[in-house]
Amino acid sequence: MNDVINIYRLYMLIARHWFENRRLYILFLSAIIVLLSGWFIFFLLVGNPFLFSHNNQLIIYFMGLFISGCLSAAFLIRDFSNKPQKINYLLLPAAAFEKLTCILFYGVFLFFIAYTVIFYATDFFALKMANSTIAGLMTSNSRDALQWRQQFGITQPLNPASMVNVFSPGAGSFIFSPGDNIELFTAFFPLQSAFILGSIYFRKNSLFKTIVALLGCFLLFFIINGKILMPLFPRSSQIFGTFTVLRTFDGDGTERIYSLPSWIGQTAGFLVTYLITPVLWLATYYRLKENEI
Amino acid sequence: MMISVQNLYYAYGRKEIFNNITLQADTGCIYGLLGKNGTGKTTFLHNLAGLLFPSKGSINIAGYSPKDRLPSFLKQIFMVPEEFYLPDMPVKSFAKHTGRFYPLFAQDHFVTCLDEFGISQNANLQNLSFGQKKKVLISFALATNTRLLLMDEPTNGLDIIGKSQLRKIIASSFDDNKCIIISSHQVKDLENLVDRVIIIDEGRIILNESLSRISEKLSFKISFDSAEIGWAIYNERLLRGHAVVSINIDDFESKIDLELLYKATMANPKLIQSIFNS
Repeated sequence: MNDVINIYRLYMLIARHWFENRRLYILFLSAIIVLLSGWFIFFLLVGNPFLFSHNNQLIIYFMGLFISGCLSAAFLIRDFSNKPQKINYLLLPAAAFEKLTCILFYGVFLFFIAYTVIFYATDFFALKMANSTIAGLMTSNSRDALQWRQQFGITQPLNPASMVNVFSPGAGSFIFSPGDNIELFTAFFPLQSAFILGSIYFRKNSLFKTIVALLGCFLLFFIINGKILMPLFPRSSQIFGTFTVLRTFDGDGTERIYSLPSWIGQTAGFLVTYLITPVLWLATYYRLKENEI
Repeated sequence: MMISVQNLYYAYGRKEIFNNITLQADTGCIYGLLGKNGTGKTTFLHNLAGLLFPSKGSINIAGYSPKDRLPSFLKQIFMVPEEFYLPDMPVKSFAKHTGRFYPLFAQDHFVTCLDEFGISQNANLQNLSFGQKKKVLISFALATNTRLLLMDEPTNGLDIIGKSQLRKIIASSFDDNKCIIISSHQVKDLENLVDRVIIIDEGRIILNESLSRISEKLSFKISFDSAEIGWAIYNERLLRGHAVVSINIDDFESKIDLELLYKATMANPKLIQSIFNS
């Protein structure tokens, strides 16, 4: 058991990793602060009070999360980027499971918390500034204030903009429908895990190679679906649900629906939602364990 | 036996590096691993450390298979690679954060080695030159007190004084519970340091003998006698006379010249092997 996980050794590994990489992490988080602040400052300069809607806040949150999350996963795990660093990392007396736990602790857990805290902190100040500016313009009768109200068609007092709860299923309608934000979380973690695996799997240019590999997987999926599976069904057929419902039309235009038992769809949905991330972590573990220089 | 290598084969793709290598090594001995550039010295050390996995055959070190890279194995070995990485932090912090992974790490010995090399504990690693960084890594390696220490071309990048300090520090840090394997293509650097010589060429070990047996079997001298030069195993013209390696028929133990031994072995591997097998 001592060769699989040892809490004190894991603590030493986490502490060493922080001490070795803290400048890089601080620089990376500072860059996120600057980017998010820049985005909100742009909104403030535009002056449109509706830009601070929950929808827009969600878009900023998720765009930032996806971009910085994948970049951090690809760049922050630098130990595999060159041979000397790899030797240093592989020969450090810690188990592969502990090394993986350390990677996930910083790359997934701490990154997610730090990013969310940074988002809320910048969002809080941006909303405070926006609300005080809007309140001033609403009560003022100056020429600028009148022009501003006319420009954005404001005739009634506006409610102050509030911070969005990114974890609430009812947070805004986002782009498509309520609850999409939760689905984006379930898409983010597998994607970030794929970049973590890519940073260990590929020796050089792991970011670009991971992007190409992921696009290749998507392309393969669409080719199999569009060119191999769909031609098996009658023309104009459509597939819904978790690939469990098929709609076809007879020659006279009669619609026919074929569906698999609902448990198959639910099981497939569950597997896609919750199992891809652990499976990718497991693949990362084995890649880490069996890695040669 | 500390190290037992049985029928080791290793290949990079189709390029065969080792062909059926068998080797035993024990604690209490410093091994000099010699060979031309590209003969697989580094690959051999990487196999021992578990950084590369054998294509065939087995390696056993202190009861462990290196390729498993278990923490209980890794804390018993340390490798000083030819190209190494040291993080951007003060020397003292590096020792503090990495040394605790090695149960026998001796901070005072680390400081002693650094002092010998003339490097301050408070220096930042990124501000040091390549040679100074190497000295820090060597000091750290010796202070870990691991049972097995692998050093790949440790003298590369060291100045003349540094090479001499290295020999002195290794000798003072060594004890009977340790096994050190030093690879080098600069044979002279290992003189007065190693107890046993291993020469690798074309994927095979062509010599694996202790210095005492080498001096018992071979004679190294400067000769002016044309007959002696003629029947020597190997001779090399000098400004005055010839340096010769010949069979020790007088039972007189001469001082071993590692460079001459290496050249003689590379020139006449079968003859040298037959002398030691007789």
